[in-house]
Amino acid sequence: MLKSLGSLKSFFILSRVLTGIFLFAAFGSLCGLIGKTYDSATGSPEVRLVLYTTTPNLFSAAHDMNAGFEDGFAGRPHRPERGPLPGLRASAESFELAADPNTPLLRYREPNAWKRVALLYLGAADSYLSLSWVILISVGSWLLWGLLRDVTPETPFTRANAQRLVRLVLLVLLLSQAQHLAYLALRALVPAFHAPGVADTLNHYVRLNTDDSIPNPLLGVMLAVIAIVYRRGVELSQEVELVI
Amino acid sequence: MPIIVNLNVMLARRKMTLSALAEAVGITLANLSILKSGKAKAVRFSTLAAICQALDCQPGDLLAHGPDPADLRPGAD
Repeated sequence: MLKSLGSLKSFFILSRVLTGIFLFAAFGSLCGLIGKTYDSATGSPEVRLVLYTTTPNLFSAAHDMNAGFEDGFAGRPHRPERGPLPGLRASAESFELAADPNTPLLRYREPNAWKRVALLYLGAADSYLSLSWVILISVGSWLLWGLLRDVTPETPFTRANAQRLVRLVLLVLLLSQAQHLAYLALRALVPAFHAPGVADTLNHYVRLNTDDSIPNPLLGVMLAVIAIVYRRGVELSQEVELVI
Repeated sequence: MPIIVNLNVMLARRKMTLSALAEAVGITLANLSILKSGKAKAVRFSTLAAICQALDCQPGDLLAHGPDPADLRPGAD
């Protein structure tokens, strides 16, 4: 019992150190976002966006499934194995497609500073920074910090931590769903350039870095299960307090 | 709660204070107050045995059953 309490205390100390690092990273990300916002608003009007021309950015799963059926029916190899469009060329002077064959870049001039900032906040104009990411790491780390600060081996279940877990679940679920809205906004913000060999306009293929940085909704569901079990733990511990 | 705690009655019979009982039994005064006020959800056999030992009584002298129709509803504490 004492050994397990000791290891639990060591785990809490380690977790607090890690959460401290997350908080520091959150502060760094926030500063980075502020700096990049200033750069986007006042700097060069050129915008660089990552394209993934195999699948449109919305309803990708449904599109991939349909494409898979079509390819299988026609006896063609799987689309990603065929590689991205080899002859991807810009069809107008107003934009340029950079020649990286794996992740083509769409480059164009965006004179509107607000649109450039919006693209940055959505997660299109930077490799890792986005408003969603900054909110996730800031609020998530803060909630985790509060959770670890309150929890002790003697009182592992508290009502405040149950609420923090619920907020963490809501944060993950809301941000993972906000990504769909972000893609809709992206389609409205990026001009509808056409490129030969691509079915839709290029704004349907621009990728957000939040695809990788924002957790999957499945994680939110798993956290929700933990939050429900934890809430039951709080109720049981309150009952135990009234056992003499 | 249909279980009635008659701890105050036994304390009066034995002319003992709550704090003296707490000291004799080895549990906190706060916990003993919870038991006396009837807010306790459960009593450990070890605690009950210690109180009976200190007050020289039987568990039946401390606890009684007084059913209340409201307590018999499903989900009632």
